[in-house]
Amino acid sequence: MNPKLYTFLWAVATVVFIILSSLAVASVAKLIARWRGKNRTYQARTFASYFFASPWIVGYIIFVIGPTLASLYWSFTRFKLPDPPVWVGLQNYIQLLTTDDQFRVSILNSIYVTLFGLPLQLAMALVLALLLYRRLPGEQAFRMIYYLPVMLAANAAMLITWRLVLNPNNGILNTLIRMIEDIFPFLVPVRQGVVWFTEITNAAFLGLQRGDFNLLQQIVARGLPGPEVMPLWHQSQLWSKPAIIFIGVWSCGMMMIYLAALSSVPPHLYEAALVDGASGWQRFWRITFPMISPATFYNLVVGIIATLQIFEQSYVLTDNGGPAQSTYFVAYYLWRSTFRFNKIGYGAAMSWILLVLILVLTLIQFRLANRWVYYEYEEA
Amino acid sequence: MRKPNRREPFLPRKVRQAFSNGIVYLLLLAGSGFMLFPLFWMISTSLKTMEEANSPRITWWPAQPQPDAYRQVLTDSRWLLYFSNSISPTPRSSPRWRFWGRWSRWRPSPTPSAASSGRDATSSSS
Repeated sequence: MNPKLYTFLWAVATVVFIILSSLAVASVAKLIARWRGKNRTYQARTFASYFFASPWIVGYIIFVIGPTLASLYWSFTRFKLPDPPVWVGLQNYIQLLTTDDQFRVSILNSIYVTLFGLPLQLAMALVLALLLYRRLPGEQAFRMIYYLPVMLAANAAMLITWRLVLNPNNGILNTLIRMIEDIFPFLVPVRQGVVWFTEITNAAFLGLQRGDFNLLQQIVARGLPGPEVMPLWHQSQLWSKPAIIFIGVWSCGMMMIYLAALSSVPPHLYEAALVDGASGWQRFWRITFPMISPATFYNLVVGIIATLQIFEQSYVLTDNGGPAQSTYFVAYYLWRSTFRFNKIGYGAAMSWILLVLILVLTLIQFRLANRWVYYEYEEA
Repeated sequence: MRKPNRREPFLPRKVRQAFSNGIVYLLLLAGSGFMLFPLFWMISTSLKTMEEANSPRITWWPAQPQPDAYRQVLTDSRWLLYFSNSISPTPRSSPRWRFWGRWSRWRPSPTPSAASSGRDATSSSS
């Protein structure tokens, strides 16, 4: 058959299916309206509104709810692809939560990156937004420049470039650090301190994570690193997570949201504060920060969700989970067990644990939000 | 009403404004350097020779930009195929393979019409 004709027939069949299923959904809605004793006009309106909404409803059921239910079912089975799934009950969940060391490692890695990366991202975004909010000429160009990395961030080409940039021996970043230190030699002790701090904290984290403190003892015994020790970025288990946090800060798109929130702060508050003699610092913490707290809240919620789903960084940047599994994240380990080792049921169970984790964290944040997020309309 | 003990600024208002704007500009420029540098490095590396790309010496911009990498990509039939798949809604990858009959199983169609064209060498694995 002619491929174009074939595509055309499929398109026609799809349209017919959409119309028929919409009619079905709308008729069901109308029936329900009749059972509840509504009058004719109401029934007709129900029919029309559900008819126009149902292309989306049907698509949602087929493409979101269906796969979700399927993965819920698979999470209770042992499923290797050529064979049909075998029901095993809660075994996947029990194994994940009690015996699987790699899963524990990936959960803890995800929490590490969220805990240390997200505050940095928020701070960087807020500072950039405050700088841009001056409305200086050229603001639009800067806005575009700062948003460019967001569009390219988790892109394989970009991450390969980061591999080049972060290469410890001849990567441009370490070369630049050496060059700057040649000009300003007093920066060498600063770098030594930063290297020492990062390696100590990461070794301590790795120790806590794996219950093996040999590495920490070695690092402590070494003391302050010599001036020749450079950051090893994606090639060392002590530096791979900081490298990923670094890329996350480079590519976080939260600045735009802060910028929009800043322009909605009413200027008369600043005028009143100026009349009262408030300093710039006070104006920021007493007016700006509370007034943009909804944006902070949004960035926090979305940021936690996004950080828990980091995948490309550990796939491309650190080459499959990085040195000694130090960049195993939940989403990466999920992908690995599902598609590398064909353990589909196991991966589905993992994705449900991830879902519950994200849900719990988000609910906690919504609960805590009442204490620090300020919505203007509540006053009225 | 202004408080009487508010201290008078040292410099006139306009000078202070210009000064702080200058600092903000410097910070913004430094930030955009940080944001743009990896992108610049990506483009610059794509024009380098292998030796330049891997040497520890910094080559900011290759002395003789090499378009070889681009030529190689643009003449790579597989890359062209993947690129056309990315931008066109109808899959062009498979004149010989199509969705046939049962759910989610690809089968060869009975007409191996385009077997000789270079591009479907890639689609023969399924």
